[in-house]
Amino acid sequence: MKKINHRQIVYILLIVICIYTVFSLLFPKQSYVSKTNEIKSLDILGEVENNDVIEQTFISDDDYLKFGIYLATYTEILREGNLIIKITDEDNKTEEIKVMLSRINNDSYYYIDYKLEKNKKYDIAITMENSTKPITLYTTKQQTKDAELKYNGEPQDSMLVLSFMYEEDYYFNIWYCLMASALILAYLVMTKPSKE
Amino acid sequence: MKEKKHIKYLLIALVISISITVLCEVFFNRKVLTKNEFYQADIIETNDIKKDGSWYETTSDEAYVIVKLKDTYINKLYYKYKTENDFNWESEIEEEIIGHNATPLINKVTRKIDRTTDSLELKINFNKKNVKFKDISIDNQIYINWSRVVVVFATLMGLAIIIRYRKYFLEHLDKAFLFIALLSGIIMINITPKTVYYSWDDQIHFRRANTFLSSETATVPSTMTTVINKNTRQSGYFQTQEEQQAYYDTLNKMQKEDGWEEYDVNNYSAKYNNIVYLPFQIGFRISEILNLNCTTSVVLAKLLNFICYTLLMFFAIKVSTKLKRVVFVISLFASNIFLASQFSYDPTIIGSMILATSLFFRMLEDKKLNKKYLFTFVACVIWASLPKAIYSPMLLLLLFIPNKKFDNKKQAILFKSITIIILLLLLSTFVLPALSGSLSGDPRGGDTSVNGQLKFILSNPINYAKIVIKYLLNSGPELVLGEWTIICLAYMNINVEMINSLIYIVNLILLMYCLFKENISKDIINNKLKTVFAIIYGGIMLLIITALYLSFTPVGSNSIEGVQVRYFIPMLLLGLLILIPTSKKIIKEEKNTNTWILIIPFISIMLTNFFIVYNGIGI
Repeated sequence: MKKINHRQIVYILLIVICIYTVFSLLFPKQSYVSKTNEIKSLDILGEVENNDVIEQTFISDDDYLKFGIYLATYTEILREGNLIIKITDEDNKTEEIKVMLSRINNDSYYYIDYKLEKNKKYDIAITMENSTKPITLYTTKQQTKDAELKYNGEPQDSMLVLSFMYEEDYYFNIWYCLMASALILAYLVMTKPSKE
Repeated sequence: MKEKKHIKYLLIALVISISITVLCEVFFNRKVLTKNEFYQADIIETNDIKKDGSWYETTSDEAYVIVKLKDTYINKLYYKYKTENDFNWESEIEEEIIGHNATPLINKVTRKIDRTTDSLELKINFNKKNVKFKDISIDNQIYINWSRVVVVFATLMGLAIIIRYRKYFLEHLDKAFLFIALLSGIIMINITPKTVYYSWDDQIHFRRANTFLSSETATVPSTMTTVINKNTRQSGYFQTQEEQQAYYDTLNKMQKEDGWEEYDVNNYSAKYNNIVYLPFQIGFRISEILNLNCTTSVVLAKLLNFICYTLLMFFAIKVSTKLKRVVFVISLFASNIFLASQFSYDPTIIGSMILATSLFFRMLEDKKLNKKYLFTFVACVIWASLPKAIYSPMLLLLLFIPNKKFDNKKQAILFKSITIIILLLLLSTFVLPALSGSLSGDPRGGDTSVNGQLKFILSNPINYAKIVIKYLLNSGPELVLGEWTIICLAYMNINVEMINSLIYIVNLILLMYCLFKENISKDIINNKLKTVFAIIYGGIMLLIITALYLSFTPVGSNSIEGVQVRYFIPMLLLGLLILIPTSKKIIKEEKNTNTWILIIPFISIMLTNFFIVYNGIGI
């Protein structure tokens, strides 16, 4: 029986990668993609303590599966308390989401699983309960259409930094395949036995 | 007989090293040598303080206590406390006030006071309501600082070994590097804090090293959020070894109780750029399997990354022929060893780029192309370019390997074509998202916008060129081979300007000596090739500056923000190749005889280690 040499194995690998490339192109998997509103003059809202109310109204510019708020904990570790996020849509349907403050990290987005629909207006009310330490939310002067931010009822000239997530076809696997193929081709070129 | 001589020399060196180390400890304890006591101070006056069992509790923000001292000298102040929130307190001796911070993460204070007072009174202002405290004590005990002991002893013993075996080390610079790097680096890993916020963005690297390739959730140590959230450097916590140890005890207890937990990553972007965290990730996974405590897992993760850096540089020195000395000096820059001992991906990028440059030079020297070198070169550039695609133009060097070194011309052309494809693929990860507008700016830079900045550059190309030229004229030399190239300890700066300058100047002179002592045949590097190096170097430099202008600088700004010296270290060897002397004559290789090549880098790193401990940050 004829032995398979290493070049033949590499050829097989190349063929498998090529097939996978075509497969990835035809049947891409879905992946979350985040989109963050443009930030202008990044600032913070000030110390947010228990019973403070932050209200943000905005119109969703697209369909999204999650949205995130940009939070900071003043580098503190929060062990107690909850963040309560009430989302009200145009039809006055309200959903309340409770997040343990211990899950919130300093200078990070916290994403909430809530589907937003394109061109619909939403009202988010954020409060905190049972926390011994304050948190804050980042704001931007770059306001989107009909966005309005209130801090304990007081209108602000900025809006919360919001990030949104949607699903998209994921084609990056093809990049990996192309890179692997290029390296394999380089190997095959360099290991080709000379005719002499 | 010879062996006996070796043993005798080493024994004498050992005795001298131990003696000097002991003398050093005596010197640092000179103020407490005759005292050596730890005593509880009597409270003689209180304000807004009530007693609650064995504890005292502050009832207003103006609360204070005055304690009576037994001795005029106070080395350290100690007390236990309970608090729900951080508080800033002050120690006051004869109207001299020192501010301190305390955190609920540890429940005891041990602060260096190092003052003498004739009044025999010390006042503590708590500046916070509801702080419980007890056992206010003065620590005037002799304190053996084991970090200092290790640094001093290792410096002396290491120096003795280097001097004794200098001939062997000079002939085998790769092994000399292993000896110096491992000795000084392992010490540095152990004496620097086992937390983050001490090196550039190490809290971000620490998180990414833990979450690695995860998109939605990752299994991480339960202490990770605590370590990331608490900026222990800026807040001024844990200023003494005792406090640092108390913090480690808290973290280790937390880790023991809560183990490993799920962490929300919520980052669905491609993770190819996180592959450089592999050494750290292996460390964390081993820690998870062995159920190691928090601080040990941090040390293990750092150690594995350090070993990677060491191996890359070891092979870079090993494959170098004429560049051996230059690579040796670069690999032992205190800044490189420091970064390699912290949470940072820069060291393996630096290591792989220096190895790639050494391999390229070796391929130019060799008559026949070594395919192993060729593929290692490509792998090294890819490794460095995955997190920072700006380094990918290094691949262009391969186009300048003479075709005659390949098996045949067809092979050369095919390989070079594939190299260009790989380069384009690497560049696409950076250029395409920038052009499509899907890249967002770094909020740490202020009002940043990649899209907005790109529009600004495209609509004002001359203006942008002026900004770049002005920036390079002002900062170019400092970026290419400034003080921070050689000695930079990020936030752990040794704060002794004279030492920094001394280490910088001596190492710079050594590097230049090694560089200009070389004489390369023009058959290997001619002026045409030097021009190519300059173009590639300049191109990468421009890419680095543009990347930072796009992502880290407010739109339309006249300056460029966020450009750091460490981004240029990977290119240093290529830059030096532009300056390397060349001649038409075939020059016989000279033997390395200068022992300073070994001593200067070693002393520089050990001096750095000493000042890390001396400043009180290291433990």
